[in-house]
Amino acid sequence: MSENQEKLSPNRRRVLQLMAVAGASAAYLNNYPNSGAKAQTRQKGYGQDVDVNNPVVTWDKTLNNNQLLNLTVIGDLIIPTDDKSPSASHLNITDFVDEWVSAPYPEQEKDREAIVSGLDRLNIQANRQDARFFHNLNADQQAAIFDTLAKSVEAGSASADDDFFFERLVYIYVGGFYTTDEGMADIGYVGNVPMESFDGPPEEVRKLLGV
Amino acid sequence: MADEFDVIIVGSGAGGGMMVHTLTAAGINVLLMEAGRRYDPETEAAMFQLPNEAPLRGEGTPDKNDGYFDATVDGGFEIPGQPYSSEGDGFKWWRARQLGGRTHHFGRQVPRYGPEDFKALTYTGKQYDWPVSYEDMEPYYDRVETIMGLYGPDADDAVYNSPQSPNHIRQKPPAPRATEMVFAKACEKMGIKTMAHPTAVLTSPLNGRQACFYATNCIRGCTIGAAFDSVTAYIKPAEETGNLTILPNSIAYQVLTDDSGKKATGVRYIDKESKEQREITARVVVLAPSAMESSRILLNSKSDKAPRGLANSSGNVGKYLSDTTGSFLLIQIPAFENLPPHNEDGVSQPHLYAPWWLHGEEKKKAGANFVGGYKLEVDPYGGARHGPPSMRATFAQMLTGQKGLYGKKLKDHMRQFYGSVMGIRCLGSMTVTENNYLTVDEDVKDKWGVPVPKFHWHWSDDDFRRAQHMNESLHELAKNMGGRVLRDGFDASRKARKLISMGGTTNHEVGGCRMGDDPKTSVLNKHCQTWDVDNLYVADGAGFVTHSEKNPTLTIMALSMRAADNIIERLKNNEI
Repeated sequence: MSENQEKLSPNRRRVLQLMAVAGASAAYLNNYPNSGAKAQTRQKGYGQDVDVNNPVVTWDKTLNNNQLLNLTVIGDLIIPTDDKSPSASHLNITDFVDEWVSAPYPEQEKDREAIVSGLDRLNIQANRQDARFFHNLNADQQAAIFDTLAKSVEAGSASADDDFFFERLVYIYVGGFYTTDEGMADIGYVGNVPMESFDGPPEEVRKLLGV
Repeated sequence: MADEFDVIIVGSGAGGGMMVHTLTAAGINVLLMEAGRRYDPETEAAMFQLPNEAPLRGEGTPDKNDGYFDATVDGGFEIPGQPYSSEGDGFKWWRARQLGGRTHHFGRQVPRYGPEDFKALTYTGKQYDWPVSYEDMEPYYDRVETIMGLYGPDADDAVYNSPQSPNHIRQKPPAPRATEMVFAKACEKMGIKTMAHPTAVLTSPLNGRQACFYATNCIRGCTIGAAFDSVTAYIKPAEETGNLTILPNSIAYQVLTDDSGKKATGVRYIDKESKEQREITARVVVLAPSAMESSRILLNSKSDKAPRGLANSSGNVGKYLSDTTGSFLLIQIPAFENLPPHNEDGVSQPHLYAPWWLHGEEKKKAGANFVGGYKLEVDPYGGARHGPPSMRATFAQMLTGQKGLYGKKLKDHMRQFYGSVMGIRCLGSMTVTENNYLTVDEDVKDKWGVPVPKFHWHWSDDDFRRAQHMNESLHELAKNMGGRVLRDGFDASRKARKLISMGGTTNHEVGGCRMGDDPKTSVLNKHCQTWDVDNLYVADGAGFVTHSEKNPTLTIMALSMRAADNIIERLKNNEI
């Protein structure tokens, strides 16, 4: 695992590419163009009769470079690397978040609005520290801002918008991450395999539960 | 199409499929009309695909309410262009548009109704009696189960009013999961007996269908035929007889009659491809498009002779609807934290349940002052380690109440809590009243030009008392399982000023053409034949008189087979 983590993940490569693009175009941008929560034009859902054996995402991903860069930082704050599993960015979970918030369904449209505006609020905090975007801050600054947000959510003192922003971000990152092979291995899901018979839990488990 | 059919059957789900199977086996020439497309789980179902292989990790959307891999085609609670409305406490209507109907998206729970369920008035002085008794239905349960296939408990373990399939028919059940062992122990403490839940899943091969391999969710459909569905168990064998013609993509609109209004001549339907209205004739018409749709078709089949709708001289068409009532607690059990990984998938349904345990004096003593009862079980796929973990069913629940959690602590939490968060639930009876009915909204037509139903749904005080009792039992069960409550579904409903979760959401809606002994107060006789139209039968859940806590599908199929026997006999005697 640790060897794996030292390699440049595909997502990390994409982030570096995006950073180059963002840097080049920064001079032409006013504030945060295209971040508008409602700017998305209606895309097509997959309908009610899908070929379940050939799944297709029928909509385009719509987050812009700076939003993705911000999310990549935040994703790794939510799910960092440790000795048992890699970080969110290592498994491209931000890409999944983009798929999620770009989907043309009410739940996801609401999440898009919450997350895009939440990212804007983080950018405004970054501006106070003379950075244009949250991802331009150094790692300590990023961690401090995010931790303040998390603590206010925990204490119940966050605004309703911040509370929802945080809750949904964590939900989508957790959902994206723990449904990967690495995530399922981390928590110890060992099913989805055909068996001759189902004989109940192993003796060791029964003993621990007293049944 | 040549007009030489003995019988037209509208709808190919549990009731229609059983009717098709029984009639074609008896040499009767059948036309099966289905509103949706042909569908075959053997080639179409997705089995081992994990959530990360689907858009949005397979989570439900307005297009696919129960997730991307759910077997439902062109259905769910909303279908574009085919609206309905509801008033009162609200009602949601699950539909499917595919051969086999809703039997693909089906929990496969198949308990038998008991003696008290058919004769509530006689036994308890409340509600109504059916025109059939358990003794009348028992041979049909046996016959249906023999074809359908099921596993279940040892029949000798059956408790009062929850009869079980005989040991020579039922197959052996899978062992309980770890969560269910703890559930059983807790029930025992409460003096409640648990046993395997009768389930239409094979644990040994049957009629060319394979045994379950104890993985994947039954609602995705089953490619190996281990989980029962109407196409696999009924329609495919019926096609082999050469007596079956299938007319897919055809929406039944009205039942046609002769000038007397007492004899059905056929069905008017809409061909979805040409959008044309067409008619087809036969000697007998059987409606089995789903309980709610049967009432809708009859109410839409108005004529000079039947100004209130066909078969509606009693004025009872569309009335006395019911669903089951559900209650739910999300709990976390510390004893399940950090357990060694083990496979708890099993059959995607509960392996164990506690049938309703209070009757007569005991029920009174327990303060259970309501009609019927409820069963208890541990929520299947999604909770604990049951099935592949998914966003809403697994992870959202594990994050319940964890405000502000992230980073290393979040990862530790997920490892520690995985497998320890689960739902425990009840499925209950509903008290049948005249406040639950459907009408047809003449002013609102669907995209095919057919007037749409309006549901009138009002929970009764009796339902509320039952729900309250369910909730108390669940809290006691949670405590005895060593769990703490993370979320209380009953409390949430109450806060939303609703007594119980919305009508229709347990997918067990029945009634609307209730059976009876009196043509003045019922729509169907004891053979599911309409009182008013001699050669018209209704063979889905519309005929239910009352609704016990048992899932209705097995009883729908047994009633359908019984109606089929009556049709066969009368056709042979040239009575129709």
